[in-house]
Order: sequence, then structure tokens, then C-alpha cells
Amino acid sequence: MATEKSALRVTELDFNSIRENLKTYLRSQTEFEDFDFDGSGMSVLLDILAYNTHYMSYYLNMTGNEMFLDSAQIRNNILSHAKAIGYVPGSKKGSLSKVNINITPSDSEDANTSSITLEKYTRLLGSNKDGVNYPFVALYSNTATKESGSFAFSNVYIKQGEVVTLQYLMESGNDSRRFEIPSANVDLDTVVITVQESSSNTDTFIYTKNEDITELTANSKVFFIEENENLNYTFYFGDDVLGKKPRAGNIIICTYLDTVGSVTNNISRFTFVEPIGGLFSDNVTVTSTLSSYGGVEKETIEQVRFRAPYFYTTQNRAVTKFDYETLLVKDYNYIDAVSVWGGEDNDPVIYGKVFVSIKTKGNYALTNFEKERLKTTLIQSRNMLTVTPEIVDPDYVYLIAKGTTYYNPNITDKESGELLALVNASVQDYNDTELGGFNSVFRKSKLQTYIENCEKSITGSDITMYAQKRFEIDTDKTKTYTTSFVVPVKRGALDVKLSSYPEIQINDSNGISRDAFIEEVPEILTGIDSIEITSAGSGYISAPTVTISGDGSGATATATVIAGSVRGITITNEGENYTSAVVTITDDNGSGATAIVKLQSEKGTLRTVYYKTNGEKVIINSNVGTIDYTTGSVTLNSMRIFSVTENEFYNDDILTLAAPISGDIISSLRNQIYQIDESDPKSQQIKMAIG
Amino acid sequence: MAVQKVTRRKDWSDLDLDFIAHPTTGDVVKKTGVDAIKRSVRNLILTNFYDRPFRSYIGSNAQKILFDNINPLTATFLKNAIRETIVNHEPRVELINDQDGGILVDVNADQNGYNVRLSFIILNRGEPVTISLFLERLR
Repeated sequence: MATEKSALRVTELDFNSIRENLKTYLRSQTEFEDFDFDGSGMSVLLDILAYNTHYMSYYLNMTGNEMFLDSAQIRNNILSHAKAIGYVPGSKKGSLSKVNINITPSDSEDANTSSITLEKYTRLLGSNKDGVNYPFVALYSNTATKESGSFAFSNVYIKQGEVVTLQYLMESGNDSRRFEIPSANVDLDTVVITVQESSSNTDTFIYTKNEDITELTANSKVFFIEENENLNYTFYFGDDVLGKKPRAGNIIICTYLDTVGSVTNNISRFTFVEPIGGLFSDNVTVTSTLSSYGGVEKETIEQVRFRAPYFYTTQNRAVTKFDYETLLVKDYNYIDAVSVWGGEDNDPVIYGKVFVSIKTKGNYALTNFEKERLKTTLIQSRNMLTVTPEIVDPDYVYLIAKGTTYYNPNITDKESGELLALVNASVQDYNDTELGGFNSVFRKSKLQTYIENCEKSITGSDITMYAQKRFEIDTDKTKTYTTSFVVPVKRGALDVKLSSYPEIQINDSNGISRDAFIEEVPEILTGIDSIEITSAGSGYISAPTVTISGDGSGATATATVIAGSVRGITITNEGENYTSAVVTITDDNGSGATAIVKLQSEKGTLRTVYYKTNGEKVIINSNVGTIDYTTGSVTLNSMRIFSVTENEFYNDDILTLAAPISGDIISSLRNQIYQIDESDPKSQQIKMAIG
Repeated sequence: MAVQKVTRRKDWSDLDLDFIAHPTTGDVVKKTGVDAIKRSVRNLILTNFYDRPFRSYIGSNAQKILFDNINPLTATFLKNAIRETIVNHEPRVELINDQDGGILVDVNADQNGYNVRLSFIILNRGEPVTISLFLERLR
């Protein structure tokens, strides 16, 4: 009789546990009692039963795992789950680059042609820094006309890959209409499928990749493409209900780029290998205007696992901020970070727009071509009709750390130079961990923690952070420049104040060119911003005398009297150098009017200076612009800068302004990115001192 | 009245791996008592390592020894292997000392094999039991 004890437990999956459970069960019977001895026939039978159960349970467990996107391990199954929620994993993509091609035909070659065409898929070779060559091809055909004896193709887009063309015959029994591309390295963006009527009738039709199933009709010439079980790609056609079905006898021609993926990023040397228009490569120069970028590998199973559900939540529509981010990252997977904000959050507010800022891997700037492509193909086809997308470049605010780090030499065997290297590395570590993306927060205390924890002998640090803006000077033109540090900055003091680098060449009042700097007027205190009436008083017949007194000088104002009371005070001269001021209103008749003075504390003045050979500082123009301490915005009024001194740190014609940051915690908004630029030696100016 | 204690007589009972049907009932035939133990000992000797799933250590691994040269030295290895497996895996029997004829392995050169004779006592049973086997290699 079966008892509680003898009930067969079925919860275990492990061989030994299953076997023990079977033995426990058999203890309740008397028919076969030798199950406990290794040599017995029952023992052999138990082994087989337990093994079988174990095997099946293991198999079921694995099968169960493969049934869910979260736990599946086999690429095919993950792709299948992703397909069910409408996600097409990204293929390999070839690197993209832009080149200028110049061809000067030799006398023997010149056949009086006035224009030549660079055909689509014309081949170039790009060589990386190790001298390995990779094929690149022109993405579009370009035509150039002869000017001054040569042909110039500018901004030719080229993509890494080898052009492969395959032909398939649509047979009458092919009900699945599926054709395999026998390569795992297909760049899906470059697949072109044309269908030729038959071998005798050479009419061809181009089929495009299906983007939206809801727009298909029986006559839509589309193809579908997906990764297959061999990790290659299979394309297939519609069934005459959703998409046109090719007829038997049709010849299907598939052309694509077979690419090597990300290894060809950052190539900037290209050479010609095949003649164009009968002109040979001897006479061709190729210069790259943009190092190759954007090559990526096929999406890994972990990337698919992560992205597919998020993609599904967007439903292929860009409505929320998160939708934009997901759609962009999905299609454009060399994006490092995306920031999206609505026009109502913009500065200035612009309703009806959505702003997108993209930081790419490798930090190159998106070209107008790419921005346009993103806007039209990715965003405008999926977002709401009334919302206009706008792609803006990231606004880099470079942070500069200046100051002193103190250490105790008695508890370390390192020299100050070694310690400084450690400190600099820890600053960079802070930058890599905490900064460099959108919506990051700079905390000075955290930076100091990084510095102070980098070595045991470091006792403390005194760091001042500067914000640096880099902007391009339009040389030899009179222009008003406006830029912004984006963060609030401190009013300058004698030693800690806004400064510029490198030297700029401007003329002084006598027309002599000077190597000048822009600086904030140090510790200059400002004039009167406004006067607020606190009591209007009574009995005034004419305008009373307004006297402004304080530590500054020159401020004057007049009062306006309406119906016997002082109703307004107009500042006629702001004056200067005030740290405090009081206003008194005096009159023979009226009395009782009082007012308080508000000083201009929010704006500072910028001036240009140069140094004589003996080190004497000379002011060229005492007021070239202003700085708003609250917003960090800087205006340089009508400046004519002839040139910017060349230097090893920054590109030509780049002028930098640096100003001390007010406050120890700053947050980046919208398209702002804070960064301590590793490649700029001036970004870390920290000294070591014993203390 | 004194309470009379009735206990079931403990006997060995095992499945016969030949799976012969009982002539009248059609059930699988059981091996019981001494027969069950003899069959168990024989099973152990004829089992090789890794025959049993997850329990690779059960068996004498006689097959490996049978493919060595047939000579008295190999016979000794075979004898030791048989003793080891019975001591380890069959707690119901106790081998009789070799001097008394516990395990005898004789080289049978004519037939390319070994005559094996085991004698043991089943614990709690008096009389010794003897099994005779002829072991030869089979391909």
C-alpha cells in the first residue's frame, strides 16, 4: 500500500536525486528488494530509468530556455523571437568615407572629352595604418566637367565592401520564393534586387526592401530579407497579396556589398585602382575629406536581446523622447549617445520642433548628408506630422582643472612627478566614468575624491574648474561673436578670471598689429542696474534731485513726478566701480520718497590687451564685449581679428576662452557634453605641493 | 497471553535481467535468495567501467584485462580486479580466503580465456557458494 513516505517525488532533475527518489519509492514494496545493491538487476534498471528521466528533464529545460527571448542561447532562436516582435537585427555595415578625386589627363589620354562620369561601384583601395588594403566603392555615380585641364569630383561618398552580384532563376515550383545570399557579411543597406522578365526579355524592375507591411499592395515591388539558420541572409518576395510575386522564368539579380565591418574605420588614405572614363590612376589624386567611419559588426545576440523589446515598445513610431532614442540607436548603431528634447525645453523656446543631438562613436561630427538622411528616412516617416525634427551638433564644454594637490612625501616612495602622473590619470578616469555623455553631472567633490584616492600619500587638493569654449574665428572680417560657456561663471578676480588662448592679431588704435589676448576686466565693479522706488512720497511739484552716493563714481539719475508723487527714476549714467550705493531724493516741497539701488552684478566687461617685450600690459580696447555671469554667454562686439597664432594644441583659427565655473555642481542639459579633453595638455594644470 | 511477534522472513529478490516470462503467469521471472546474489556477483564481474550512466566506477573492468596477453600475470590482475569489485560493491557476501579456494583464475590457453571460480559465503547463511565462469574476449 502506498504511504505518504512512499509517494514518488517528481521535483528533482538531477540524476542522483531521481535515482534516490525511485529507491525511496521501491522501499515500500516487497517484490524486488535488491535494488540497493550495485550488482543487482534492479539497480541496473534504476540507472537506466534515472538516466532517461534526467536526460529528458535536461532536454526540456533547454527547450524551455530557447522558447523565450530572455533566455534563448541559440542565435537562430533569438532572431526568431525578435522577428515575432518585428525587429530586424542589424547586419554588418561597411565604413563610409568622403573623398575628393582629381584627374588630370595626360596628353596621350586626352581625347577631347569635356566631361567624364565616375560610375557607381567604382573601386578604390583604402589602406589602414598597418598598410592593409581594403576595397571601397563609390555609392553613387558622379559627373565632372573639365576645368583648367582637369576633372574634379568633390565629396564622393564611398563605402567599404566588395560588390557581389548573384543571379537566381525563379522556377515554377518555388512556392516559398526564398533565395539565399551565401554570405554572412552582407551590408543590408546596400542590397539592390532587380527582377528581369526572362533571359530573352531584358526588361527589369527594381524591388525595394520592405519597410512597412501596412503600405503593401498586391503590386508592391518589395522584397523581405532576414538572417537564416546558416547565419547568412535569405531574401524572399510577396505572395501577390502583400507584395508582388515574381513569375516563373524571371531572373532575379541581387547586388550587395560584402563588407568586413568595423576594422576599416578611421582610414583616410585612398588610392585608385581602376581607370575611369579611360583615364588611368597615374593621373588621379584622391584626398579624403573625412576619415572612414560607421563600420559596424553584425548585431550580437546580446544586442538583439536588449534592443528588440525596446524597439517593440516604440511600435516603429517616434512619439516619446525614448522612441526617438531607440529608433536612432537601432538604425544607426555607431551612435554612442543620443539626447532628445522638445522645443518647449529649448533655449530659446521653439514650439513644434523636436531637437535631436547625436554623439557618434569616435566623436566625429555628422555631415549634413547624414543629418538629412536621418531626418527623412528615420524620423520624418515615423514621427507626428506637425513636429519638425532638427538635428543639432553636440555642444562640447571642455572643463579645465587648475590647482594644487598636496602630498606627504614621508609616506610614499614616489617622486612628485610620478604622483602627478597618477593624479592626471585619476582626473581622466573621472572623465571617462562620469562625464562625456549627455545629461551628465559634474561634481567637483567627486573629482577631488578621485584625485585624493589615487595614492595613499595624497592629503588634499585645491582645484578650480574652468569652462572652456572653442570657437572658430572668421579671420580678417569684422564680426560679432557670441558663444556661451553654458554654465554660470564667476566674476573674475585678479588671478582667477576669463582668459583667451592663443594670441590673436588685431590692430590697436594706431593701426599697428598686436599679438593680443582677450581678458575680463579684473575686479572691476559695475555701475547701477536699476533703481526701485520703495515709497512714492507726496507734495512734489517738480522733479526732485536724485543723488546716488557710494564707493563708485559717476552714477546719475532723474526722477519723474506724476500727481505729486515720484513715479519713476531714469538712470542717465550707470557710473562704475560700485560695491554699494544708496539713493537719496531731495526736494524743497515734497517729501517721503525713498528708493533702493540695484547694482549691475550679472555682467562683466571684456577687453583686449597685449604685452610689451618688457612684460608691460597695454590695453588695446577697454570694452570689446560682455560676459553674463548667470548664463555664461559671451559676446564680442564687432571684432576684426586678422589671424589666430598657430599652436600645437588646437586646430587653425580656433580661439579658446576659459572662465572659472561658479558652483561645484553643474548639470549638462540638452546637447551639452562636459568633457575633460585628454588630448588637450592644457586641460589638466595641476601642480604637486608638499602639505 | 504473550504477544507473538511475527516478522517477515527476509530474503533476497531481484529482477532477472534475462527477462524470461514465467511459463504460467507470464510475469517477469524473479531471482530470489542465493540465486539473486550469485547473479549480482556475476553482473558485477561482467560490468566494465563506464557501463552504468553517471556511475562509472561500478564493475570489474574485466574486458580491458581480457585484451591483454593471456598469461599468469594477467590472470593475477583479473583476480585482483574481481576481488576489488566484490569487496566494494557486494556487501552481502564474504570471499573465502584464496588459500581456501576463494577466487581461482586459471589460464585456459587452449580456449584463449580464463576459468574463473569464486567461492564465497553469503552473510547470515552457512554454506559456501561457488560460481564458475569462463571469461574470454569477444570482439
